[in-house]
Amino acid sequence: MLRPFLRSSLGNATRFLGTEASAISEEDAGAPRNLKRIGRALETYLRHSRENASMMARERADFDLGKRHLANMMGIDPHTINQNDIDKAIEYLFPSSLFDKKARPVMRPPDEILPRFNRFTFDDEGRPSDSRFYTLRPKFYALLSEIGLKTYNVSRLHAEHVKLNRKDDVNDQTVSLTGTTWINEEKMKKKLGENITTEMYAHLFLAFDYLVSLPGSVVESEFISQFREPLTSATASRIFGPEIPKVEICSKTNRRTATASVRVKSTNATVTVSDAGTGQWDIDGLTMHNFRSLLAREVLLCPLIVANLIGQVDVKATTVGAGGATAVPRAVRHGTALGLAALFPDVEEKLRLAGLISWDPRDKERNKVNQPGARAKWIWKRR
Amino acid sequence: MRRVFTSPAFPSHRSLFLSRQKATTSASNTLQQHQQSTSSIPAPSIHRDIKVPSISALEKASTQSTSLKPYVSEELQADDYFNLESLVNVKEMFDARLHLGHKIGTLNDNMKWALYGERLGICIFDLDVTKKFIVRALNFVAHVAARGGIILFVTTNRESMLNVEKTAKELGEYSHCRRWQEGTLTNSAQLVGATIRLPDTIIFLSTLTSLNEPHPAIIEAAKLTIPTVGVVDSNTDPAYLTYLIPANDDTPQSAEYLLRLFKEAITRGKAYRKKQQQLEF
Repeated sequence: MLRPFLRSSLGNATRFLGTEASAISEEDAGAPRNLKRIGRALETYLRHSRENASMMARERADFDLGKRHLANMMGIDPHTINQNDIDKAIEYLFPSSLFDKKARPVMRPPDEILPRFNRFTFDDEGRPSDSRFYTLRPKFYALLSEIGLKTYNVSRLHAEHVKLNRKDDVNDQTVSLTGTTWINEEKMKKKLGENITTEMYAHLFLAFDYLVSLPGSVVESEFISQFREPLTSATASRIFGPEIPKVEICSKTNRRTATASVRVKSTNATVTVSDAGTGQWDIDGLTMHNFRSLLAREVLLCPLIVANLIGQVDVKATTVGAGGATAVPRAVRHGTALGLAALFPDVEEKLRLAGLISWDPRDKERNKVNQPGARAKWIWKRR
Repeated sequence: MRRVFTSPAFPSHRSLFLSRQKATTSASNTLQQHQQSTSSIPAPSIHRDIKVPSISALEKASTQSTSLKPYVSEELQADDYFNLESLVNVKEMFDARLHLGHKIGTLNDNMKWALYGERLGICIFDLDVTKKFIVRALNFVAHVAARGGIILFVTTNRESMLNVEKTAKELGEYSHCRRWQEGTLTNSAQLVGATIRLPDTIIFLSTLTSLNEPHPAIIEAAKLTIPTVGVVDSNTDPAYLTYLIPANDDTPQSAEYLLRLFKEAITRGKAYRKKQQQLEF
């Protein structure tokens, strides 16, 4: 009754009076008014929340029961069965040769696999708790704003530092990022607890990259390191091509190294590539400049040119076999490429496209009887 | 059809609040003095006499909204219930560069009424007009805050963005300074995954996007009859906005000044609400 009146008399101005006013008309003027009436929207939300909570409780109970059944079937103690045992049992009971591992049957706690219910926090008037709630991605935009503030602070601090002409070089340093990379989109989603698009992810890292590039960004290294993870070699099984070696960290120098064993014709080479180097070569005690042939030098440098890492890694190689000025550089080239792919996973694809990752299977063809070589024939002569 | 509020002289429902107060403009006052004067706000009445209009009165009001004036509560009829006019003075507005518009060539016809003139090819706002409109908008915002309304600050200006977000957070209100997803208001249930309470008023500190097009939230708010307060520059279209503030929206100084005013108005509204709740319970 009162609602249309207020609408028409004050237009939009008193739209929000609606709830209060209708409460008055229901309870009669003069009776104590309940200002804390929960809105319909909030009621619906609370109902959904309750339904979801009861559904999850049911699923959890089902999972526990199923776990006990599985333990009995497999002859494991139901009290000690863990997720690893469950995975093995499922693999045994439901053998699947589906290529994609995500398509294979799983049995995991419902909290891990069921879609998460978006839990918003409202107060008793239905006001969302997050100040950026209406952006629909409050946590993502809060992070963007935080980066913005930090960028502003870093540049302000550096400007002050330049103005005062201070000698300490902390405010000139950029944050050190060696050996780490930005966390990927999936991990970012998990970290924020929000679904973000690839475009938003790119936006985020444009902002991060700018912050990182500023002189003096070292003061924010703790914040930045939350969004970086150590570089790891591609240990996932590969279907084609040689295995990428594992990255090891040298306990003395704290440098990351990768060692690959390769073969070219009858030459076997063990090549160790270390990052954070100065571009040193050690091939059976020889440096690159001991190879007089320009072709050999080009072959040695090839993977570094492709990966754009000249002067940033050290290579140490030992060879066994009959190889000379051609086979030794080729073997070292292959080993270097594999080492680089292990240390810097983002250049692996580049190296693969340049044909440096795959093994060259060609070998010396055997000589044939009654012939001077593999294919060559004696000159035919009529008697 | 676009409904455009072009002339301040045109009696819309907004003029209900402001028709009486005209000549009571005090000279330059500082913000500290006004904060003392908040105590002069009349104590809120516990039992308000609410008269309910008859059906015939409502029917009449559909063509003449002013006929409902006797049914509107006294505090809403007051022109400046929260004594906000003393916050605003022309000197401070001038220092905050509120008078600077855009180049003449970009002038929107619907913004001519707010201009004082032109200097060096730049539109100059009439700050007396601006002041009147600021007080009007502040009074409205304070009343919304006094009734527990959700206030959403919107801006597209990158320089003042962080400031706006900070202010909204401090006030316990809301901000949206990023890309506007289509249907944020009109399709909120689908996008959020639950029915939510929408903002009760939206304050636009700039109404143009980076492409010089009206902010998409203006149309969405109009569709849902959410009242809006908009800072409109000389090159913007004031259509679909409820409360206009003709002023410069591009400099951080002007945004900061306006934010300070909104902050004070909302704080007063909330203080009033607190006092009222204490009296009622």
